[in-house]
Amino acid sequence: MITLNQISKSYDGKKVLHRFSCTFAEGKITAVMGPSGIGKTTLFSLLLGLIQPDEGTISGLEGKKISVLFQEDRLFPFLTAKENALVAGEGPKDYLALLGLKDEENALPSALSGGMQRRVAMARALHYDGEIFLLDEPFKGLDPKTKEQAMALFRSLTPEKTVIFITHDKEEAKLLADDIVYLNEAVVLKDALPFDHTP
Amino acid sequence: MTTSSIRNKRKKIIVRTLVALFWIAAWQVLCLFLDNDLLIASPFSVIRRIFELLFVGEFWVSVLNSLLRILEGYLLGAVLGILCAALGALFPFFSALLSPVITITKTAPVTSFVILALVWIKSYNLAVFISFLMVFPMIYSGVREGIESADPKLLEVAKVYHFPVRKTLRLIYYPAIKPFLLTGLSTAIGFGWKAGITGEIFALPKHAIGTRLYESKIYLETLDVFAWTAVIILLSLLIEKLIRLMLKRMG
Repeated sequence: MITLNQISKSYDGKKVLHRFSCTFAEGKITAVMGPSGIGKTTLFSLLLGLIQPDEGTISGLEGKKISVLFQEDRLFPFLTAKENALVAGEGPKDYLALLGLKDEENALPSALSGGMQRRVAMARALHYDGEIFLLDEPFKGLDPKTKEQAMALFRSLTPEKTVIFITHDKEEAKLLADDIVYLNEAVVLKDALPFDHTP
Repeated sequence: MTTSSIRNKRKKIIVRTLVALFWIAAWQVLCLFLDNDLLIASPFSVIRRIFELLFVGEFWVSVLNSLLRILEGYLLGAVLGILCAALGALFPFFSALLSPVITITKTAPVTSFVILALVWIKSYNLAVFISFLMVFPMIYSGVREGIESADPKLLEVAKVYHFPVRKTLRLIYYPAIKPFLLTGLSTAIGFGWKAGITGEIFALPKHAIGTRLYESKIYLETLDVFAWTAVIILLSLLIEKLIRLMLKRMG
């Protein structure tokens, strides 16, 4: 279990998170929701260790391999889609093909649409094959069909992997998440809604 | 190449030729007006003199020696510039320590260094040192700027995916540094060349363009002063062109 205990974080004297506590269950998919500016991305950076909390502790991530999908795609502009997807690790499957990008694997990011670039970034996270997946608005810019494919792919990762994803979309959270964390209240709704396992 | 780009290139060549002809004509008119070989040499006599020099062994020995010395300083400046920039980025204390040296070398006149260096360095090595002194701060500053321009978001990607140092250098730092480094290397050669020749004029090593230029001035051989100056300019243009071509191929 990943536990955030009494976490506080301020930027230039402005409190973003104040004595925030919550838990993320292992082997489940948790959606993190909340209004803009509430500190979702700060929480994301804290979990990744990119920033340190002013107060409080985070446990359950020590020595764990974390696959990350940032809010922006953050692709290497001079690497092909395939090279980008494999830049962090080889992974067990051909995720580019599973995400419908087999024909585009030799294309540079500049030649791909926004949705395709998102899928390449997604494939990179999947190829890294982490024990924990941290995803910041993973389905942003995807068309409904691709979104469905991607959701099924992340669903298939559980219960071996733990998936935490930030979203603004209630439907996405309801469809995919086992638990939902509302950041403004810092409460976890257990088993928010059952997920239809049929792809 | 498209028809319009060929036309543009041709137009550029015509304009350049006309500009060159204009200034050569102006130079010739000035020669005729002054009518004094001690004050000014005519363009035609300079061209003739350069052709004469081409058949003198000492000309080639001087040119090759100057080229070697200045390229030595250039390479030394480039390599140390890159190394120190990397160290400066890694260790802020090292960067702070180097900061006044960079400021002084960038702002102080070349001749001040030449005069000081004459006391410490052998005449042969002076041009190497002066060329190095011009190139080093340019490469150092360029590479530092390149390092600082590395995309912080991609650096976060490298961090969260635990990229080895070599991979981070290859995928993030090298592409960020490359344009700054290439510009620095192609600009620095011209500065290094000019400063190196200035160093030779003061140090007077046995075989050197600078020495030949100085001797021409001392013996009031104005034609040779003009001819050697033209050789310096032509070689500078040639080296710059070659370096740019080489860097373009490497890039």
